[in-house]
Amino acid sequence: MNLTSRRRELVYSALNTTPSHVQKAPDPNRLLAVGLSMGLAILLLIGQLFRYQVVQHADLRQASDRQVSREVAVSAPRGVIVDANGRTLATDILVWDVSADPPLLTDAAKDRLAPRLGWLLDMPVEEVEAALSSTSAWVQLANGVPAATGKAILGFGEEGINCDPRALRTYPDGALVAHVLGLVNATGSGYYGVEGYYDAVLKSIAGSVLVEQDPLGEEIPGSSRSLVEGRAGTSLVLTLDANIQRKADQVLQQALKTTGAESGVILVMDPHSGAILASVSLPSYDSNEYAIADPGLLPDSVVSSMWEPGAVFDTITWAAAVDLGTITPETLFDDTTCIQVGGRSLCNWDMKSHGRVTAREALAQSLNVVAAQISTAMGSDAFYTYLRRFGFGEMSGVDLAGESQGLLRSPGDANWFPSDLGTNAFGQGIAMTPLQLATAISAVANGGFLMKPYIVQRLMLEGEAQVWESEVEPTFVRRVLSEESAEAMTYMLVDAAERSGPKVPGYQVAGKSGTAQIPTAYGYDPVGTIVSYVGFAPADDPRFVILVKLDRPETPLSGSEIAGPVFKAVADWLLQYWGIPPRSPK
Amino acid sequence: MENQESLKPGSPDWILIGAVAALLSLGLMTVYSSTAPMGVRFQGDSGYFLKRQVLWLGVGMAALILFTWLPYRFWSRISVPLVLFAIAMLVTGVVTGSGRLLVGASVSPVEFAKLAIVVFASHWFAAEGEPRRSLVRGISSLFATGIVVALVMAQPDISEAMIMVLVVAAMYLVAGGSPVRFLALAVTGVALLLILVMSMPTALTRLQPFLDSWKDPLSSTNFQLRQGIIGLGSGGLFGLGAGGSRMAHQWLPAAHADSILAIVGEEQGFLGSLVLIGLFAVLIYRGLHIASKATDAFGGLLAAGSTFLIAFQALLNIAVVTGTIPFTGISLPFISLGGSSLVVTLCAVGILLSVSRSAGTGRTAQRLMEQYWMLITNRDLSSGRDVWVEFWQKLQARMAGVLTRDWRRPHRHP
Repeated sequence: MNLTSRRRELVYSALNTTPSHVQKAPDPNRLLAVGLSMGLAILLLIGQLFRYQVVQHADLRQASDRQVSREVAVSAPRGVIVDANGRTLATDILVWDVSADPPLLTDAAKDRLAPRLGWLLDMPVEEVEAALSSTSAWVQLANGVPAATGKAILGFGEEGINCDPRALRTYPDGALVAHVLGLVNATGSGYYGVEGYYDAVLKSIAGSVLVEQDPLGEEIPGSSRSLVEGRAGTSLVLTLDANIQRKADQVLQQALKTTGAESGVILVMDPHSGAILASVSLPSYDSNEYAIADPGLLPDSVVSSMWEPGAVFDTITWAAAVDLGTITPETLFDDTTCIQVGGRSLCNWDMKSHGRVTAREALAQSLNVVAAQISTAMGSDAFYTYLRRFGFGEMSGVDLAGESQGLLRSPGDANWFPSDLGTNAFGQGIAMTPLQLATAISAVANGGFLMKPYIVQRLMLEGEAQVWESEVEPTFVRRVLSEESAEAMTYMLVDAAERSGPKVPGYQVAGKSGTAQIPTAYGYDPVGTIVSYVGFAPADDPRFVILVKLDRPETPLSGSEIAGPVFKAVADWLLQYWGIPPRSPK
Repeated sequence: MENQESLKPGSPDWILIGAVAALLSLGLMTVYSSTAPMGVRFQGDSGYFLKRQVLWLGVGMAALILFTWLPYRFWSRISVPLVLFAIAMLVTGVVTGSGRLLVGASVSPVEFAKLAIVVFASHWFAAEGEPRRSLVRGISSLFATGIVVALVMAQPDISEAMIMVLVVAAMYLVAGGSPVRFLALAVTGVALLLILVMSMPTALTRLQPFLDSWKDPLSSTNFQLRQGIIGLGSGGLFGLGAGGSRMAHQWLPAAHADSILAIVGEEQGFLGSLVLIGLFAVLIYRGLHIASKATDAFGGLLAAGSTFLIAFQALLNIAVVTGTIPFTGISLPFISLGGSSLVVTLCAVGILLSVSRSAGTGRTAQRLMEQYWMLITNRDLSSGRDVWVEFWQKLQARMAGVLTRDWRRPHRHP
């Protein structure tokens, strides 16, 4: 055995391996070396994973959220408005906006879609074709199409045709209750009327949902999480009765036609509660299409516009004097043609002297001279105190938006003149809204109790499980007349109505007419007048107060001759509608 | 005597089988959650791709069982025809221009070629005499391998070619090749690779963004890399839960393929990623253990080569998805969707198990598992600790051996 082979033996024994002709497994140490370097690589990779998954987790999670998550608003419906009988006056409906992304559509798809879209959207096919072949990235096809059409278009499943739902405020009665209800603009805010006054109540709270989506914008199934729970708006039940409203509307339209008046108002109230039963002011507009309406028509003249009422206001003057005790219905007055008050000459409307008349007769004949005698006898302090107690010169607090407070000047005000004490007594130089006057007359009909006018009788919020309701109680404001004074006033008004007012067979009506001049910047309009009639029935147990006002009628007749029949038409119908038994056979 | 006993087929390595089963389960789960949205969109069936994968898994399991049962020395005999067949398939692919896939786009010749190369290299390095010490033989075997690698590159598929080179190089090293020559070859190889990369515009366009994005992957212009890291990172420690992936909804393109680790990380979190890496570590440990216990050079090299094949793919894939190395297309073994890759990986496991049967590692594995079973059932902590103490002592002894070893010594042979 030579040295070489000896060394070989030594090496093999050291390695504990068999000689080369017996093939042996790979060197364990080299395997271990490779294995350990792989182990190092694994440690490095674990370090990398730790860096991303633990250290930078928050940042990367945020990056992922930014890509994947999207907050989607979920709209809830605005509160519904119904009338006293539960008839829907305003509600949200779902309509669809149809648009297209022309770049996403192939020519074949355009040819295929144009006739179908034209038919569904009721558009000429050429028009649809032109829109679809437009070069812009997005074209509007139709706005606010009905749900059925929207769903049919959605059913095409065509990428490039979009159909988005949207809530639209709808008023089934259109112009009939437009002034009372007001309107809701495109951003969902209410203006005028009930929509304006109760905007915050009616408004819904939009919820939002966090959805995860893929790059094409499609929702990942089951990924949506509610962020903010949406809430529907509170619904309102009005005191208004759509049937009375419709009748009043018909009557007023007829009256405008026959008298040629520019505009008019019929207001029906319940004197005991102050509830508004009907409120018509013409010309009206359609709340559904407020955008194309004359902006001047949007405010409700029943609460927003004031007028100098003229002789109907005598009622208030007489009532104040009776309550103060300065007159009784039978107090005698010397009526002259004119009277000097505060250095101004105030004359009767017919420029005649009526001699010795009772207060009752003077009221029925609307004698301005007697009115001025009454107010001056009361003194300005007492007279204006009563006017303010009746609610003139301040807002009634009705729950309708845009109320005006009227115009009442009293001694001490900058432009009050001593003669105003006389003119105010017969409704000149003093301005009010129809609602203010009707409310004051209601106090007379209500035994002297002034009630706050209101139109919403109940608020309803429908929750998941239960309905929350809140009843609105009538609000008593103050006592303005004693029981006896109110009775005496009713007696005089019945007399006035019987002498020259509208007759309703079988029923006793109390009422007063007025024919007022129209103030302009240059004194009173020499031609135009505003005629009005305000009254209640039945006189012994008043169920309603009706105020009629017609602006600038073409026929040269007095308030009782023009506005009286309008009052009668509504009163007649109402007595029958409510089935109120007559006092005497017709 | 001892030799003959070891030739008797024994039990396969059950630890390895357990790790593979766990990887396959994790793979099927992730394949489902990463393909369900795609399946619903294009096929109307969320399980469409999962079903196909399960079918391929069936084929792969059949191959695995067959190869476990088949004595591995069979491969030594057909290694040359195997490589010739692989070359033929690759040439067909290149000539017909059908790219990376053959037979109705369902068979990938590259996957087959990788396994053929492992078998061929094992055969070559284990050949009679002392082939491990012959430079000429080493180079010529590398030359034969080179033909296959060149053909794979011509597919073109640089990543797979790189895997092959790495596997063969590692096999050369464990076969007893000189470390000096190995280093020389490695330097040459890296230089060649660099020249190649510089000459290929597609490679450059992948390399440049990588260099930019090393510091901040979120600003990377490589969409695939960025989305993958966002997916990984959004999983956090515990993940979004199985099926909770958001990146799988088309945010991460082809999430089921090479970037599937991002989905594993997103759904199972850092702990899930650790389990995945841990399972691969177990597989590598058992594979190398089997290789060291093999009764002959061919078996040992076959086991080592099969382990390297799986290990390099897994490590490179994880390195790519975590932005550690430039982006290339390497699928994650056992996990990624893809029939050919799954079947070939399971074939490699089958070969590994076949070696383990004669190497007798199955018995040690069984013994270990029995001990753990006792540990679990009897709550006998001391016995469990003994196993670990034994393991650490062995490992420390080995490490001491490695560190104190004179590496040149076996090669000083005249």
